[in-house]
Amino acid sequence: MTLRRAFLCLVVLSLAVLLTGPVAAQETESAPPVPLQSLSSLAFGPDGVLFIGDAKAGAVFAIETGDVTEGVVGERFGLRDLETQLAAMLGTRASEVLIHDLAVNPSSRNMYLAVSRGRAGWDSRWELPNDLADASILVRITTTGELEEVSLEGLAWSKAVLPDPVDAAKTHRWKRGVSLRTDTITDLAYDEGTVWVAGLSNEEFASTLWRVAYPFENEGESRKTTVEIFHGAHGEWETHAPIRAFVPYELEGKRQLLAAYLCTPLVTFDTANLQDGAHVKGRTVAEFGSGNYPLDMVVYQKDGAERLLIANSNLPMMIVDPADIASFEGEINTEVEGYVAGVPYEIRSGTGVQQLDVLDENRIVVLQRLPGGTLDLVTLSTRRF
Amino acid sequence: MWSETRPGRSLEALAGALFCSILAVGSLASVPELQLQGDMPIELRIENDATVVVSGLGDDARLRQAARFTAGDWRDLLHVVARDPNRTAEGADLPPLLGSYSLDGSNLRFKPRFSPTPGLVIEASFAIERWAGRSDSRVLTASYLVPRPEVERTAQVEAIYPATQTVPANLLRFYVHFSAAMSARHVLPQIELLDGGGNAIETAFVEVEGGLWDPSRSRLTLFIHAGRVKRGVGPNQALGPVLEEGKNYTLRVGEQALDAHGRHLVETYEHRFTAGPEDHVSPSPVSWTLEPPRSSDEPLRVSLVEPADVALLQRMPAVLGDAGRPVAGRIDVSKDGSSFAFLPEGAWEPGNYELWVPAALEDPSGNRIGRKFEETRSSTEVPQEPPTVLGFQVLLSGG
Repeated sequence: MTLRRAFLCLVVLSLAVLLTGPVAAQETESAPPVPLQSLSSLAFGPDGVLFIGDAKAGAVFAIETGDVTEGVVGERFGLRDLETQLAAMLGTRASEVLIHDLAVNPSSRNMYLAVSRGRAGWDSRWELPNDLADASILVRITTTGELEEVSLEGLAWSKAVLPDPVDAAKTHRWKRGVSLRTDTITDLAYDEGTVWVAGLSNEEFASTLWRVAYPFENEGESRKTTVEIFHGAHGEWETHAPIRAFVPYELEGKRQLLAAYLCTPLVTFDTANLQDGAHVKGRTVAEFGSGNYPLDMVVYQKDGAERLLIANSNLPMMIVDPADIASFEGEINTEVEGYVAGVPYEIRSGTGVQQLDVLDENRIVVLQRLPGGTLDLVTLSTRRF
Repeated sequence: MWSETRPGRSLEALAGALFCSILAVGSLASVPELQLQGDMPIELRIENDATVVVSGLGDDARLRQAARFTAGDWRDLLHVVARDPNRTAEGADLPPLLGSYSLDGSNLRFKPRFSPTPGLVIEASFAIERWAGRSDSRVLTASYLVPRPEVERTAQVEAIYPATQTVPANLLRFYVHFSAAMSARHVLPQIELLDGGGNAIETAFVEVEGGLWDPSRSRLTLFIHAGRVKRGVGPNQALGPVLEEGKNYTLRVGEQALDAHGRHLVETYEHRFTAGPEDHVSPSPVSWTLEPPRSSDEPLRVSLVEPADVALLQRMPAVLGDAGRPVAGRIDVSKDGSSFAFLPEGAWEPGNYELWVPAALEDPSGNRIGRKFEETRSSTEVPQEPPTVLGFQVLLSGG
C-alpha cells in the first residue's frame, strides 16, 4: 500500500450508523433568546422556518423567521467579492471572513449565510470552516442585494437535541487539533416533515444520520438504524468519516437520501429502510475520485424531473441524473481501479464553487471562488445546464 | 488618533467643532445654521476604540422622540462602515458595521460589535439635517484609521543543534529551538542555508507542508535533503551534496518568521559552522563510559564516543531499576550531543541499575545502532534490533 493510499484510506468512511428518532425536546417559546452555540449548518423548511444545525450544542434549532414575503430576485443578480462586504460588517478584512453555509429561504428568496470572523488558524487544505471557528453571525442577503444581520431576538423557536453527539474531547485523527465535535453536524435537510441530520455520534461506527420529525413536538418512539457503505476507491469498509453532503431525492418512486463522502463515494439510502434497530446497507453507486471533498449538493428540476448538482473542493461541479442511479445495476462492493466508477455524471463548467442552493424555479445560487481570489455570489440558470 | 480629510469637501461653519476627527459638510449650498438649540454645535468624532460619538444633540423634544428609535432608525441617521483601504475604494457601497447604538444624555454612541482590525478605516456619517427634521441631505462625516498596536516581539531562536562548530558533511538534520510557539507555516520560508560566499543553497531542506514541529511548535526539525546526502542516488548526483567537507556555512533564521501570534522574531539568528569529514559509523553504546552517581542527588553521567542526535538522545535512553522498573527522571544533553546526564526525580537508592539505549538512536548523520544511513534496506527487512543494555551500580558512600 502506498503512502498516498494509506493516507486516503484514513480519510474515508464506510460504516454509518443511523440513529433515528425521538430526539425532540420541546422548548417552543417566543421570549427567551435562542441558546445557539454554533451555526454549523443551515436549511429551510416551509413558512420561513430556518433549521440551524448546532454542532457544538449537539442540537437542531428551528427558528420561525417570519420572513415569508415572497421576493423576486432580479435577472442578473449577483454580488462581487462577498467576503469584503461581510468584512465591512464585521470590522475586519476579507481574509478573516469565513462562510460556513448558505441557505435560500424558499418563502422569500432571501439568502441566509452562517458567518464567522477570523481564520488565522487555517493551515491545512483539508480543514473546513467549521474546523476553524464556530459561526455566530447570521446574515441575510435580500432579493435586492442588501446585506443585513438577522436578529433572532423575539422569534419563536424550538429545539431538537441529538442523542449521543460525538464527545467534544475526541480529536480528529489527522487534522491537527481539530475536535470531532465540529463534525457532529456536517449537513442537514428538511424533507416532508422530517429533518435529516448527518454527522458523528459516539457510536463505534461514528458516522451517523439522525431523523427528527418537525414540528419538534412528539417524543415519538426510539428508532435506530446502522448503515454500512462500501468505499470502492479504497476497496474497504470504513467506519469513521461522516457524510459530507446529502440531499433527499426521489428514486423509483421512493424517498431516498443521496450522500457523498470524502474521496467521493456516492451512496444512496432508501429512507423506508431506515427503521428502528435495523442494519441497513447503503448502496454505493459511484466513486467520483480521491483527494476531494464534496462540499454541497442540491436537487433541482429540469424538464419536469429531478437532477442532482454536487459542488466539490477539487473537482468541477457535477450533474447526476437520478435515472442513471435507477438504471445502475447492483452496487460497488469491490475495489475500484483508478478511483472512479459507477453512475455517469456531467460536468457543469465552473470550479471553486463552495456553496449551493436552489434560488427559484430556474436558478441556483452559488458562492464561487473566482481565479482573481474573490468569493462571489453567482446565480446559474438551470436552463443552460 | 489619526484623521483624514475627504478631498472635495470643505469645512464650513462648524470648523471650530473639529476635534481629532474631521467634520465636513457634504453640501455647501446656502448653509443656514447647524446649531439646533443653545450654543453647543453637534459634533461627530471617533474614539480610540472605534466608538463613534455624536455629541451636542441638545434638542430636548427631539431627544424624547429619539428614545423610541429602533436600531434601524439610528442606522439611517448615523451610518458607520469599516473599509479595508487595500481592498475597497473610498465611498464604496458597503453594508454598515455591526454594532449597538445608545443614547446617553445628548450624546449618541455607536459601539462596534467586534474590535475593528488594525489598518481598517472607520467611516461615519451623521445625517444632521434629517436629525433636525429638515430635508437637506447634508451630513457630518468623520473617519479614523484603526492604528496598528505596537507589537512587542518576544520570540527568538534559542539554539540550533548540532551546536558544534564542525558537523559531519553528511549531517542529516538540524533542530531549531525557539523561545515560544511559532506559526507552523511562516517559519520555513524564512530559513536559509548560505554557503561561504553568502549565497543561498537551493533545495537544502526537505519541504514539508506545515513544517516538522514538536507538539509545542517551538522546535522545528530541518531535514537536509536526504537524496542529496545519500551517495549515488539521483538528487545527490544531479545537485551534489548540500554540505562539502572543509567549507563554511551559515544557517540563518530571518526575523520575518512569525510566532504563533503573528509577530516577528526579535532578531535574525545566524548559526555558523564548518562541514567536517563525513560520518559513516553507527553509534556504539557499548563503548560509552558511564559515571555512576556517588551521592543520592548526583546524576548518572554518560560520555559517548561520538556525538548522537541531540533530540533522540534527549528522549530515548531509559534507566531501569529493581526488577526492571523504569526510573522517572530528566536527561540533560550536552550542547554537542557527546554526553548526557540522567537525574532521577527522587533520590538514588543504592543498587543495580540498567541504562537502556534503543536501537533507533541515531547520530547526527542518521546512522543508527547496527545500521548505517547509507545501507539500503526496505523497512520490512530491518530486523528489530534489541536495545543496548548497560549495567551500572549505585553505591552511596555515607550520603
